[in-house]
Amino acid sequence: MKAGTGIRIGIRAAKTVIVCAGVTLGACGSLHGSSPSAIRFASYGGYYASKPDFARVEHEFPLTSAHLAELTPEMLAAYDQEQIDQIYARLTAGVIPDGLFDAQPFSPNGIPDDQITTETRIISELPGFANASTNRFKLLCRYLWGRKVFQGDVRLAFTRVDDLTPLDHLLGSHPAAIPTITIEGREQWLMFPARLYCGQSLLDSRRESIIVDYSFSDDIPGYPELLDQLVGRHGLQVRDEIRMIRPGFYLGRVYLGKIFFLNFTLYDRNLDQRHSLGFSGGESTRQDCWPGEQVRPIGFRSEN
Amino acid sequence: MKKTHVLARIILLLVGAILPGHAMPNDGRLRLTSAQPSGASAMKVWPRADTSGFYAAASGLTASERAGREIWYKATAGNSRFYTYVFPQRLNVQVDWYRVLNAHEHEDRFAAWGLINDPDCCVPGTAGCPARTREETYGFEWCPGDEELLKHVGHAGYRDPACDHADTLPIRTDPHHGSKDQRQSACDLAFGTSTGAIGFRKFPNPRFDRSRWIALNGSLAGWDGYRVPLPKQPGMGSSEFSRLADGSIEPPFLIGITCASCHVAFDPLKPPKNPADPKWENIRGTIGNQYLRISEILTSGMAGATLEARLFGQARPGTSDTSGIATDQVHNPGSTNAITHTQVRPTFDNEQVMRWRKVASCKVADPRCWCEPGRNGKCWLREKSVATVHHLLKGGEDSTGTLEAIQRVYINIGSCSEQCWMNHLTDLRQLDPHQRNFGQTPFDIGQCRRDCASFRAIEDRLENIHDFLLSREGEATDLVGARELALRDSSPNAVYTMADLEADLNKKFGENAVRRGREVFADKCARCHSSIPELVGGAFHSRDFRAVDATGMRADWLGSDESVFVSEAGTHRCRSLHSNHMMGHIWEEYGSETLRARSPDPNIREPHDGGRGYYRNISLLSVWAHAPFLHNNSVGPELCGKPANRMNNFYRSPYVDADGQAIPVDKAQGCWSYDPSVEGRFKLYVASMRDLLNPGRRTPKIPRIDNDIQVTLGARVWDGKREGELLGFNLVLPAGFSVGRVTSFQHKAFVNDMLLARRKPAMAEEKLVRQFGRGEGRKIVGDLRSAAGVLAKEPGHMAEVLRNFPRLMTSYGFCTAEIENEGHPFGEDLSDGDKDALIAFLATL
Repeated sequence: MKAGTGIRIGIRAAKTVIVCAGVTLGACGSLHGSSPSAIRFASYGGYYASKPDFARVEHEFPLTSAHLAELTPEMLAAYDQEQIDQIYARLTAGVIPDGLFDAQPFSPNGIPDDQITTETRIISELPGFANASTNRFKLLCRYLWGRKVFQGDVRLAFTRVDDLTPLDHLLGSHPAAIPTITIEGREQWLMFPARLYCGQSLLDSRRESIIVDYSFSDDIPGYPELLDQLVGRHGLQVRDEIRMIRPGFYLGRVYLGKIFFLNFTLYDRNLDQRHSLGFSGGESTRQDCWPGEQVRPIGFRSEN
Repeated sequence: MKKTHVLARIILLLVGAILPGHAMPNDGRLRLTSAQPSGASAMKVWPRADTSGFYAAASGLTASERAGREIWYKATAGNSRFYTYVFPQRLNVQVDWYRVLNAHEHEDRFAAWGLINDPDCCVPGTAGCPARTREETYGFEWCPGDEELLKHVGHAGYRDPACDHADTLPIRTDPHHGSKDQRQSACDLAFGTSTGAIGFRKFPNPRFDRSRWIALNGSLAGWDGYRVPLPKQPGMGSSEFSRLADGSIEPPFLIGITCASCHVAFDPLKPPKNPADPKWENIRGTIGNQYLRISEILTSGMAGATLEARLFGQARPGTSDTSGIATDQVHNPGSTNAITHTQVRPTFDNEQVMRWRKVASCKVADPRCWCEPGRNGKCWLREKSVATVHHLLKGGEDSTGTLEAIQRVYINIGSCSEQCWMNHLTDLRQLDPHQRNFGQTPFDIGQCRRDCASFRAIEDRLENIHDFLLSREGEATDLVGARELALRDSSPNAVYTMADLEADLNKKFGENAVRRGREVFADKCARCHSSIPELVGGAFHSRDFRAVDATGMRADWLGSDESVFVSEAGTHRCRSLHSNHMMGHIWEEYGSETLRARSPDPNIREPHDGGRGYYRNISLLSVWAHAPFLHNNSVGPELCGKPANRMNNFYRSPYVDADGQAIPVDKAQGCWSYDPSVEGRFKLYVASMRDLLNPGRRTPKIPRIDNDIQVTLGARVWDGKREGELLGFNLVLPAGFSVGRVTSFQHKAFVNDMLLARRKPAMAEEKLVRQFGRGEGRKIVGDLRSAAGVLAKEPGHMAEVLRNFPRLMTSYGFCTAEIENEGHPFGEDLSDGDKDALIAFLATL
């Protein structure tokens, strides 16, 4: 198969799939919501002007260590999008992740599991937006927001892939150049490299988030160009931003072309368990990024 | 020994309080400001990082004026983070600071960008410059303070020179400082050091990675790997990227801007011999730089074919759209207001104003009141009051107080942007009205004060800035004085009096031209262009418009500052439709209730509620030095710098024929080269006045997009050969569209109404009939449905579709005015002789 053929076929196929009620994400998996925690939220309406200012939300309803200690990925999925946004805005970037993590996209409460969309159908009805390809997204979701490895020291992130077969047509003629990692005796490919840095949140400007940016990965060794283009600056322009809930547990937001696309969690159970006692006990956490100036009740050590 | 020190400090404090030349540095130590001789050996003079000519130029100012001057020229109040991080990452706009500020193009900088080179800086390697190579300065010029700053590139621990700011003693009647000085640390003013261009300041980036920078650029002085667009591949449309968009790369400097960046100008009285190498005596901080291309500077990292570069970067020299970042989607570049003789500028009584005032305590649980934690009685109370205020912006906005207006401008240039501004701004990509940033929400002064130290640092020193604006820096610049100083260049004892000036003007414009011009002015102009109405100052016909008051200052501001309907002025109305001070919009807290209650102009079609649709009657003080004219510098010759580097030649002819078609460049009027000399300004004044007084002879100006622009909103797929849109749409803006029409188009309302018309036509009709009236509303719904049908087949051709539905382009335009240099017909009916006479007289004001 010639490089790129599969993509062309994919595009043609995509245009036969008109998504009428939002962009579907069947293959991205989902979390099943459980009862919400004791976290409180500022009141809000549907229209943009009725959403509360995040600074006010944080001032009036500050999150405590106890709030964050009890959150689980499943609980987040029980909130609606505005509530998730209000939680995200009250987090800080925390520690730039390092090591193995599991990413999990999720749909907010009120949105079917196989969809990510806004509360209205406007986005999905726009000409052009309706061209969204379920096949392409399923493939990407499976890889981009699945098993990750973060190399905090060199500020890189990769997706760990067991099976290259679905991506075979995108790898070009030298897949052997792709770096690997051995986890529990099993070799995994390190793909979809992204750069990590402290940067701007596209939701809440008051403090930095950790950015996972796939736009300029071409100079990272061992990367197949065709795949890079798919998610990079000439492709989907994927840009994730994450903030830490507690050590080992992050809440993330995915943007494509700077348009919000989906929520995800990033979780390392070992790290979470290792730090849980100290975190619940009020132990301060490191801040690798600019934490802003608004006073928070949770202690931190700024490294920035 | 200790007691001696304490006693000495008390004495010195008292001396400092009495002598105007003394001031308190922020660390509480006393020192003489550099403008003063060091004198007595008992007084230790602490070295300051910046002992440059900048301070020598402040001699004669009071301590407060000097403090204000330093803040005006040097304080970024933290906005370097805005231009380094927020602008590219959140707003998608890249600034190529190296392109603008590299040392190599020092001589071309004024011609290209209109920037004023800092006399205290030097090009590395030139005689006397402390830096020998550009490697040492990362390609920039060397400026005072860099010996310390450069050590901290890539390292934390930089101590900002603002920490040494010479604060004046606090005013004891100020409720916040009755017992002790409670000002926010001056360090939060954030001075950094000069970049080589006045008003543009640099800060060491502690995140800079030296080895990665060298790997990318080849050397410390090189920036090309960072800034030059990456090679394009065939089929990529307009997608052109440089690493400026790569947030993982940290440049050596963060660059911020100060008030002076736009307000500093060559002194009309003492222009420099060589505009590329001025001295401090040639520079004035408050009158506005009519040559500055700030819009092009702030889009300098954008590829020429991108939408942002073409639209936001297209403004006349000396103008900028100050509602461009806090966008209201009304394209309205305006000139920088000259801040002159504010003492005699008209104020307006009995305005209903909601604002904060200083108090020493708050009542328990009063939600309108806030005390700064850790301070003793530094509290603020927000309440409605009746106040006397200035009307400061072009439509009379910024009407809650002068100090408040100064503070607002700091926010508008990016200070505290992350802490309290960005979350309130419109995201042009957000099309869903149910999502944050679909539109603006009001900036919250109280929140910003609480959460941004730089806000407090500026707020606690607003009186100093205000004093500086009232200082000699804001005095009128008379032509008679300018000519005398020019003569003294060759003849040091030369004298040139008002009689000489009048004689020269009469010689040029006709016998008794000045006298006749005064009569014409009194008869035709003074009603709007005098600050002293006849009821107060007597008949205009017997008035000396150049009279001075008891302080020696000109008594007449030469403008009533009263707001008039834009339809009466007849000038390009887009600026008057600026909406940012309306209720619910970003600057709601900086507009008075009185402003918002103004009656609407009945002769405007576009939305103009909330007190919009007005222009102020401006001041004509020193008008000879401020051409071209009108709020957008459109009346008079077009100006251009003709830089040696043609890549930085930003002039685009705006001239069109009677049918609105662009006049070929070889047939259109050319542009006038920048000439800040006295006679250069005078020539420009005369040409602009002739244009002003002869509206029928003006060649219309409509800036247009000169090449197709392809804009991809959303993500794309790339198959190795051709890009295709996946989410969003590929918008093609065909060449020839008016810049104003495109940038003022309400694409969000259009998209939402179009979808509503397709989905729920009855609801759409009800909405649009309510908005536009029965007949027009129904037609718009019909057009929307038709357009939706076409766009469903060709989503990438929205602009072309709109061209076929002109009603939609008009109905969804926030401003549909196109000719920028129309209007102000006053004086049109004068005889040619009287017009010349008026030109002669105004040159004496």
